Order: sequence, then structure tokens, then C-alpha cells
Amino acid sequence: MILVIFLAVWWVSPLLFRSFMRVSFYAFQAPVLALPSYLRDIQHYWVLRNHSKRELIEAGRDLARQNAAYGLELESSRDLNNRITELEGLLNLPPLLGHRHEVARVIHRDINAWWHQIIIDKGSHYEIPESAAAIFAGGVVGRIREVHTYSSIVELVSSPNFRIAAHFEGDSRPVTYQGRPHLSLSPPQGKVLDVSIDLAASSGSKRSLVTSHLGGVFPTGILIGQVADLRPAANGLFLEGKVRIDERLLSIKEVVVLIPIEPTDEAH
Amino acid sequence: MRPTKQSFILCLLANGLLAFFIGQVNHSLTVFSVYLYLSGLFLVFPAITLSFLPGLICVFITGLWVDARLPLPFGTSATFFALGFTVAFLVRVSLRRPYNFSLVLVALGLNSLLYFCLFIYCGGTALHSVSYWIHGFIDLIISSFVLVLIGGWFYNLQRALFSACGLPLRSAPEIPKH
Repeated sequence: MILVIFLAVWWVSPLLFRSFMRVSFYAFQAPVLALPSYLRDIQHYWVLRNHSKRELIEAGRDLARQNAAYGLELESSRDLNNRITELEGLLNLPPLLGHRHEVARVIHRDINAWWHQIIIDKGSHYEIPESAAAIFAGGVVGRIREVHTYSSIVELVSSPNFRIAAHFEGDSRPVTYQGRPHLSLSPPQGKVLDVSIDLAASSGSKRSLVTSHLGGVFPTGILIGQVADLRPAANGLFLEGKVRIDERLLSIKEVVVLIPIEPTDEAH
Repeated sequence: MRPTKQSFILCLLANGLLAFFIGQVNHSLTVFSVYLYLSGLFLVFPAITLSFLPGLICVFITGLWVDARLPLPFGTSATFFALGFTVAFLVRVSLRRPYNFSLVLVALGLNSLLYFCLFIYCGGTALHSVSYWIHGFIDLIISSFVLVLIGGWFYNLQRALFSACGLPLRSAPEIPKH
């Protein structure tokens, strides 16, 4: 009887009270989650301190080569952006939605059969909005689900509840991507739905699935995963298939949050 | 401070500590897509050391702590914990001598029950997926194995905390002699 009354009092209590309690518990927990992240940084620092100078010099040399390659890519990207701006001016087109990049550290990962989420160490104090896109070197990470003052929760692209508009690279027709549960000790995966019948994919000729701007969250062209097999759906009108996502998603340490830049009045 | 209040705080702190360590282990195990669910461990010690209402509040707060960052209605885990605690409290009468073996056994049963409830509650359309059931089954097997491994250690830790604070360890109530 006491149990029933206790639970009834909780679930009948005002939503505002329960929201306040949730925010309070989360705020109390957030520093506790961030602490191991800082301890891992300290541990990593002391591991590096124990490396020999020769090892550090070699690592620095490899990074310099990588930076040189990225520098060339950056120049190429600047040229392409300038050409896009020129063409927008010539054709009187509205500018594409730009994004500001905010790099955030992953302080906690939570991946199980029901939800896939990570917590990052930046929140509203870095102007991160809800539903912002998060990406990494391997493609899409996910979407910001909750924003708190000093941290945010990201729902991963492999989460069973994650769903976005996408298209295959080289084909502009929209398809639907949705995360799906995957087996233990296996890479993350999703599924692609509503694929036109004339498209095909096989293990020898995989197709890359990329984001579409139709969803309004992700810019177009960011890699979601690889599709190696397309089969007829239950309705027979479309094809569907499994999407293999980059395995590095499960051990991700840093993400880039894409914060939309509002177009200025001058562009109009 | 009254002994009951001290016992309540110690049980709550121990549960919080365990929840923190479970979170860190799960953070490390994401590489293998394995998730440990050990919530059964939170319920048994409060059931044998606290009376009903303080124990219920203790496990409910533990549940809210766990729920704070989850994409579930806030209070879902807390409700499951409260129901599991009630079962543990009813069973505690039979734990006349709360050796670790019997505590771990009860924790194992409650853990499996809670896991199954959460599995069905959160399943939705995924309940039709074979990979969902296989993933859940593998996680439950691994979680049960780990629970048996660390359950005894956790309860010894709680006993040590009680001893360190000079609190009597309230065993299961004696069956009245007629």
C-alpha cells in the first residue's frame, strides 16, 4: 500500500516538479561524469612524458606531414567556397546554410540494446543548440538531443530511434536512414529504407550513404555508412538494406558540433 | 545522527558509488557493444538493513540518479527499483542469516527481472527483431556473470562501511517463536 501511494505521488506530481528534479540530478551528476575524462587526460599526459625523445620526434614528424596534407585540402576547400560564392552572386541564388564548428570532448558513452548516446563536455555556454548535427572523421556521429549548461547529450546515428533523410553518393533521390540494434561484439549498423528499385549494391561494389539537406539538420554529403546489400522491402515497391557504420563510432573521443550560422540580411 | 539516518546515507552513498563504477565500466565496454546491467545489486542491502520506507526512498533516489541522463520518462528506473525493492523486502524474512551467497542470489534474480522488464518496456518495434533479443540475451548473461563476481565484494564493502561507522548491521528479523 505504501508502495502504491509512493509511486502514485511521484507520477501524479506536476511535470514541472519532475523536470526540475531531472535537471537537478543531471547537474549534480555532470561533474562526476567529467572527472574521469580529466583523469584520463592526466594519465595520457604522463604516458607521453615517459616516451623517449626519439618517439616524440617521430610522432611530431608524422603529424607535420599530416598537417601539410590537411593544409592543401584547406586551400582547395577555400577555392571551392569562393567559386560557390561567385556562382551564387552570378545566378542570384540564396546562400547555402553555413555552419560553425565546435570541437567537443566525449566524457561518457552509453551504448546498449535500447539507446546509443554520448555526453560531450560543451553545452549552452558554447551556444550549442538542440538538434544540432555532430560529426567526426568517419562521418555522422548523431544529433544533439539535450543541451545543458556545460554538457550535451548526443543521440548516435546507430541508435534505434535515430532517423534522417539521406541519399546515395552520386544519386540525389532521397532515401530514409534509421539506426537499428546490433549484436554484441559486432560493428554498429543501421538500415536504409525507401530505395528506388533501379539501384543496386553488392559486397564488391558498395554504395556510400550520405546525409541530405532535406532533413534540415545535416548539410548534404556527410558520410553515414556503406551499403553492401539491397533487397526488396516487404511492400515490394522499394528496396532496403543494412548500412555498415564506421566502427570508430563506438570508441569516439571527440566530435565536431555543426552550429548553423544564420544567413545575413545582405545575402537577401 | 540517528542510526537509521546514518544507515540510509551509507546505503545511498554505496549505491551511488556502484552506479558511478558501473557507468565507467560501460563507458569502456562500448567498444565491444556490451552493456552491463547490475541494478539488482542496489536493492538487496537496503532491504535487509533499513525498514521499508527509508529503504524505498533510498532505492528510489538511486533510480532517479540512474535515470537523470537516460532517454526514458524520468522515474522509470526508479519505479522499477521500487518494485524490485518491495520484492526483496518481502523475501528478506527468509534471509535469516544474510550470507553473501544468499544476497547475491536474490540480487541475481531481481537483476534478471528488472532487466527483462526494461527490455520489454523499451523494446517497441525492435521486439520483432531477432538481433535485439540476441543482443539482450548476451548482455544479460554477461551482466549476471559479473554480478556474481562483484556482488560479494560490494556487500562486504557495505558491511565494512557500517562497521567503520559503528552501526549495527541489522540482520533479517527473527521468526517469532510460538
